[in-house]
Amino acid sequence: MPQIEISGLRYTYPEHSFQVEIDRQSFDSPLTAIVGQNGAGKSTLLKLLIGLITPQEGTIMINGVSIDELKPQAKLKQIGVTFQDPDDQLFNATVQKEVAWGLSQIESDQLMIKRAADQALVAVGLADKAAENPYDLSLSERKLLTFATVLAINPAIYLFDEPMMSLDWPSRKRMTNIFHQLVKSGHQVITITHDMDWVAAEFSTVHVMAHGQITFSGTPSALFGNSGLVKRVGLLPPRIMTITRALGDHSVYLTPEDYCREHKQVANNLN
Amino acid sequence: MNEPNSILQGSVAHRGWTSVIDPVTKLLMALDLALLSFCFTNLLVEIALVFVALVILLISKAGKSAVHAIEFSSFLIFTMLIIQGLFYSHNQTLLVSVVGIRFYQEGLLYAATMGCRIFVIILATSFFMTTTTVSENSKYLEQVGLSYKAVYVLMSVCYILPEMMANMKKIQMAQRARGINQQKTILEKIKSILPVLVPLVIKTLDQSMERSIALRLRGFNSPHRVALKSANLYRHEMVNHRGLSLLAIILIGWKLWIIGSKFI
Amino acid sequence: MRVQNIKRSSIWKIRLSTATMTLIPAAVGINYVAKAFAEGLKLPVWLGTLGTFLASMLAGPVAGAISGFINNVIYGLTLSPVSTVYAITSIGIGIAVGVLHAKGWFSSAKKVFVSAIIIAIVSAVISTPLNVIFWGGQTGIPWGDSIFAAMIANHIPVWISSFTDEFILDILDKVVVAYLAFFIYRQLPQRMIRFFRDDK
Ligand SMILES: Nc1ncnc2c1ncn2[C@@H]1O[C@H](COP(=O)(O)OP(=O)(O)OP(=O)(O)O)[C@@H](O)[C@H]1O
Ligand SMILES: [Mg+2]
Repeated sequence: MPQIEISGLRYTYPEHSFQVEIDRQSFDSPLTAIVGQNGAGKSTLLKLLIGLITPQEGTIMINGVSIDELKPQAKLKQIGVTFQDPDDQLFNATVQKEVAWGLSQIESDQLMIKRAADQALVAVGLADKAAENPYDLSLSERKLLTFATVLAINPAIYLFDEPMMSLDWPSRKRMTNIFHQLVKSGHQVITITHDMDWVAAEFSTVHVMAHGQITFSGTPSALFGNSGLVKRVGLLPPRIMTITRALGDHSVYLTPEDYCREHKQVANNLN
Repeated sequence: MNEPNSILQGSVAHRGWTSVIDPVTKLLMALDLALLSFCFTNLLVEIALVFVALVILLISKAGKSAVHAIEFSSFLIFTMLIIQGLFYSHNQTLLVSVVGIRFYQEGLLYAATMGCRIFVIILATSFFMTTTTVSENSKYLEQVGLSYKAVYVLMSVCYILPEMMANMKKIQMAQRARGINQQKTILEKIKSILPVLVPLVIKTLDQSMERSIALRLRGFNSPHRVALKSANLYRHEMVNHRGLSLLAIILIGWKLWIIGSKFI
Repeated sequence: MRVQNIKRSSIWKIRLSTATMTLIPAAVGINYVAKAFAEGLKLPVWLGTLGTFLASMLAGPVAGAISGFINNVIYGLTLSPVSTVYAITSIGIGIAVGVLHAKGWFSSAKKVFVSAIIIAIVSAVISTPLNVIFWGGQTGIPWGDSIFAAMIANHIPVWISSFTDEFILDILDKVVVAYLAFFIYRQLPQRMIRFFRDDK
């Protein structure tokens, strides 16, 4: 399992007083979510993790190598990233070229590039749109296309900034499946998200950020079991818990299915 | 990178005498000063005009944007002095000779005169810039009869610029993450142009399309739209406008007459 | 800039539709940002007319000319007041691009080269008198000006020297901008091209 190790990290934007401050943190679980309010510093942390911005203090190690010692190409093979807005990166004439372009930054064998690009497009379900202009796709599809550009490169670690935002329902299911496949094949997936239902249902580890610091690391049940913390950092528990709390039930349920298992009777009635 | 902060923010503290002069009068003042500097070819007159513009600027406590613009132009004026001092076609009188390089009086005078004109233009424009704000200007232009569509276009330019600069930074960051590195060689630089400019142009045009649809929905095209009439804050507007416009016409006529009489 | 409600189907449409009204600020913004981008990368070209090119290609010569004009006025009022007078050059560029594009001179890579040369000539012809009046013939770009200095040192008339200085810089810039505009325009989704082209 790939491993990211942070120590003594301090970063302040040159024109802003906001500070990211993380003393010691490792990211080693296969499927990790980073949550927190707007402006908590999640995207800033992501930019630090891939070396797009350089911290004033501290180090970030990937599998024991400091990121500023990694060569650009080696870094691309280690970490792939997609940002919130797909329109910040699409510029090629066709969907197929867009995926191939990313890969051509680290690979020169045209046949390999083509094969990997086609595979990535199949994985995200865009194979039949390969010849279209990226900007003729829907927003969901453009977002899937940005995932394909990273999948084609097949890095060890995937970082996603709000991958589910603006995805329609079928695309969300597809993405969740892809996440699980990546984990199964030994990759590490770290995503920033605001979707607590999704975190509760799918993730094994969650980190909470507030004011530039990581204030909680643990499992979703540990997080949502601590209602004081959840409120303090400005999060909303999964919807099922909002309902059960209102009904006076203070146990932790991560999904509706969870609740049903506990209450066989209700489940039987539902069926 | 120079962002047009001055026009975006303008001056907040304009309560003094500059606030009772309307923007069009200020603009005409700048134009007349510039035209005056073109009508004379005498260096002393030019220096006097620079002095006049400087005094106006100083007593209106507006100087920051002028410093910027002067910085911007001073290198060019410096090279102008050298090139004309050395090679001006009417050069005759040797002024100084530095290690065998001969500077002539005629060329230096010619370049100095032009340099002064540039200063007059910069100082006069800066007076307009620092004592007016975008919203004041556009309100006034609409009052004096400029079409509200033209005013809309001018206004939105000022708001679109900071937004686009921020978008460009975001796009550059996203493409760096995809492997476009710090560009060093000219080939790397050229390769990095399209990945940044294509998303930027498309994003900007997309936002324009949205704005345009929103405008249409709000009935912006309706011919019944009327301009807001606001309380009049300015003094002697009509007299100023007519007087300064007349002066501008006289100055242009005079200059044309001088040029024309050379050919006769 | 009074706008009348005249409906024409030619490229010389005068009606300012809401589409054109929002295209013009975008074009000015593209000019500004492209210029900043070129400066940031220390490219030997300005790129400051890219938005004007695109506006002309999308909505015709009038839209391009207005974009160019406003661009120089804004630039003049923020950074270098003298550049306001070069608004005339920008109008010329906008019209030239719009006409060339409408006549099909932006349809292939070869034709774009011819267009770029024509546009550079238009630009240099309009700019040269302004350079002579305001800067004694210089352009303000050191290596262009060193050619200028060398020429007048050899008693070549100021007008010819100044035109050469301007044209050499213009041809480089306009070829790059024309090709950029050509590639970017081809990349635009059809819905966008239709939106700005169709008079609504
Ligand atoms: N490029 C920048 N320059 C200066 N300040 C910035 C920049 N980007 C972000 N900030 C500031 O840093 C803080 C953290 O921003 P960040 O984007 O990391 O938050 P976030 O947790 O990702 O929020 P969101 O959920 O809205 O995406 C904010 O206060 C923001 O204003
Ligand atoms: Mg964010």
